[in-house]
Amino acid sequence: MTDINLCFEVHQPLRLKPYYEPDGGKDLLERYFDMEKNKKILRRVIDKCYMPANNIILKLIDDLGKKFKVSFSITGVLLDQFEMFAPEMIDSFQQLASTRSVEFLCQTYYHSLASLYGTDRSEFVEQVEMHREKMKDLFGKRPKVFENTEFIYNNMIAKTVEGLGFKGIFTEGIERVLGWRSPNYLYKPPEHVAKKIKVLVRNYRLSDDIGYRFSARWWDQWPLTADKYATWLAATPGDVINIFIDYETFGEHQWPETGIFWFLGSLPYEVLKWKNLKFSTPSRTILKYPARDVIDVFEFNTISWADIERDVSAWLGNEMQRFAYEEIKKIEKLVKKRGDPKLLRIWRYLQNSDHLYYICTKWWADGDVHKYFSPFDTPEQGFLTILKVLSDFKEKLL
Amino acid sequence: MKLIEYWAFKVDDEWLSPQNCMGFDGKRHLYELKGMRVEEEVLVGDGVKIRLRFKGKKKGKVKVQMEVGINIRRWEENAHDRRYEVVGKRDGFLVKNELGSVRVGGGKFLRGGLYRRHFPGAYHDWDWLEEEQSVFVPGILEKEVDLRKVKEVTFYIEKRDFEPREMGFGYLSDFGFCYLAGFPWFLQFWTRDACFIMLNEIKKGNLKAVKEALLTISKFERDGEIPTKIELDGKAYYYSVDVPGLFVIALCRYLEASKDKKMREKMRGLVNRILRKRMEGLIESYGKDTWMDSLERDGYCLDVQSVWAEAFRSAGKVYGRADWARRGEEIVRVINEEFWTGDFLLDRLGEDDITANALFPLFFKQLPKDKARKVLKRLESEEFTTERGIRCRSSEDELYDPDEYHLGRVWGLLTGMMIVAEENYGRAEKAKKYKEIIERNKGSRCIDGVDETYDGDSLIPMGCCKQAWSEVWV
Repeated sequence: MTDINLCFEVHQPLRLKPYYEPDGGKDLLERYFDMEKNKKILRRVIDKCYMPANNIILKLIDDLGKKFKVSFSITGVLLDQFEMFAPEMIDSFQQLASTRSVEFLCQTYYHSLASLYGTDRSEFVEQVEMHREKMKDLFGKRPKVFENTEFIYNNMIAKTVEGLGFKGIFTEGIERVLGWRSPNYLYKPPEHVAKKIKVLVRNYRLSDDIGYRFSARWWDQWPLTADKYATWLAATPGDVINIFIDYETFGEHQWPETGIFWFLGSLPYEVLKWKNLKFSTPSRTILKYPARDVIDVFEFNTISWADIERDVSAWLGNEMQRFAYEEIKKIEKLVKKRGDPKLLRIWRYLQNSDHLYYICTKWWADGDVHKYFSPFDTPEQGFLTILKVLSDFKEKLL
Repeated sequence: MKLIEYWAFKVDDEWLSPQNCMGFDGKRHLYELKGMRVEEEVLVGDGVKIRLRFKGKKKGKVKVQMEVGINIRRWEENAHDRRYEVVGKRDGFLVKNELGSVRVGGGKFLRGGLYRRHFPGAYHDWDWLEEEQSVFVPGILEKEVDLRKVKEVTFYIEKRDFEPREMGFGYLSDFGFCYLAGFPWFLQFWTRDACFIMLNEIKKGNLKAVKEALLTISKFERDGEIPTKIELDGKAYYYSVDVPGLFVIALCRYLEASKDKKMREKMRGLVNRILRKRMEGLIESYGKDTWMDSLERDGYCLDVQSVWAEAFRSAGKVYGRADWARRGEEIVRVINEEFWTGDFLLDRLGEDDITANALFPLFFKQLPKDKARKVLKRLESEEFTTERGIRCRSSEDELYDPDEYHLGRVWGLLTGMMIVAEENYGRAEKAKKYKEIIERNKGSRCIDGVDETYDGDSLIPMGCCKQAWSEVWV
């Protein structure tokens, strides 16, 4: 029997204003962030994706009971926006939580790169704890499985996350780490790094079949139907297949016209036709299966799920990105010294990895993806904007 | 060892076959033949009995013939070229090769003798690698039945050297007697199961068989470890954290009931080897070494501590060792303090799973009455108790999954333990209720058999259809 973990990353960044406005007002949230646009985009995504997808999943759980299970990893940044602009979405996810067929994963509250801030892990730990408490407050359960921002993973992150009491951590199932081994098993970090935590690796091929290729007419497997996909899953050996995709795949990245909602609605039925497949959740999988081998990911070989490189170059690949990243880090001491929760919150929103993602200058295929998500016309515009915001913010702190 | 590949019946020259099979009610196949219906019922226990019942208006005599495809071979073996020796008997025949022998009876033996190849159908239909087996048909068993006088006939197949015991799961292997865990899938000596069976057999007074089983298991003790599973060819597997403790408990219960001083002295060294390894701290589990062996329950499990507490306590009493008794009491104290949540018990230290393992300290009477009452109340609630018995995990638990082996299914073992738990705390009426559940569960998929597990929500029987530790409680 192979477990199918169907997991969704649910995130919307709090986008900066495309051009810094020196007279943007005293409220720093309004001054730096384009709240009108964020609200507008959120409403669009809710209408096109979140609400219809949640309703389909609720109906599937109603119809199939415990046989169908999914997992969500919702960023704190998005939950904040739900609370500000669309509280009905919180209700909707709470309704899903009440079915007990849904597991909520933990991540950094601000979808940040705090796990990479050198040897001082305090900011990372604080953001993880914040998110874990938020999950407990909203959905009644402290998550046991962690998914770091954009699947960023190395040995030291695993060690820190184990120290926080998590049973499992997600990362990308890439060949440069797995080698000949299959992504469809659990792994563990080396013994000297961590003793108990298990590593769940994403099957990126099967995930990207839905997330990226679903509507690609150039793809020799187009159109992808639920029965075809279930056949692929059934023919895939292993203990667990982790399908982990952006929730926005449904209706936003893949438009409703592509048939993506039909796919979502019929996939569970097709999967359950196979006796060797079973829907599960990461915590269940961790309890059921042993780690079959060790994956050793030294810090200089850090993994993520972004771009072709599957490393951190999507956020830290050029001088502009690294400069902005260092500037954000430098502010930590100043902000924490001030002890003002409002300022701390602004600084943490600025840590959102998306701001750096928009400054990426890769010109090949992945550049299109960066451009697709970016509110800026060019990476340079994004860089200038965040620098000006950081400069202004520093002034407020001094 | 396997003995046969198939059997087949012909009634008045008409085979009972899928073509005339009208249905299966979970116990019996019903066949529609010319002018009559035939019901085929299979009873599995100490061998196999096949009973044919004749229904319908047809009167007069019918001729019933049985063909048996003999294949005495090792489990993992495929086609072979062994020859057989056949001895005719008054009501059947005995057939043997160098591996063993089988007795088939119930009719007049018409000697034949045909060697042929056999391809079990399912593999063929699924287009899998075709399994090929050797079959020997020694002849035909024939019986003439006068339907005016007789409405049923019985044929039987059994291993010749089989020695019937007090209960159906007892089995005499080449290396000694012990208890099989369940039919048809657990035809091995699973010692954890055997220990629970023995606890019940001792209560029923079947001390001779229990002593033999204890002696058989003790032959496999290695450096204070008892195997979890012993194959019938004598291969033993050691991978549990609790089985040695359960063995000590079963042994001590036997010694208390039998006053068998010779056995007590014979086992002293073994008990010492088992217990001396575990004199410090709590007992830690790794991987799948608890009774919930489909789960990775790393850490300090309640059921494991409870078993060892009882092992130390009872060995301390039987062998007069105060240090063992003290050790037992110390673990009981930890259970009552560290595992206690205020109204229930933790499944593992530091974890929040809500499972029926809270039953273990009740089963071994390790909780005071006030705490026990609280735990029993919760176990009796719909969270755990179903019409089929006790769920292994609370339906309120976050990880509850009704069709997962140890994440939500109902277990016959736990239902049986609940009877003892209720009795231990003077709740006879409640104990009766759980006894009735087991009685009701009898025969759902196998004559008189109680299933291993049931789906936690739909309550559909799952797992082995005749599981020893599910049915020994009544």
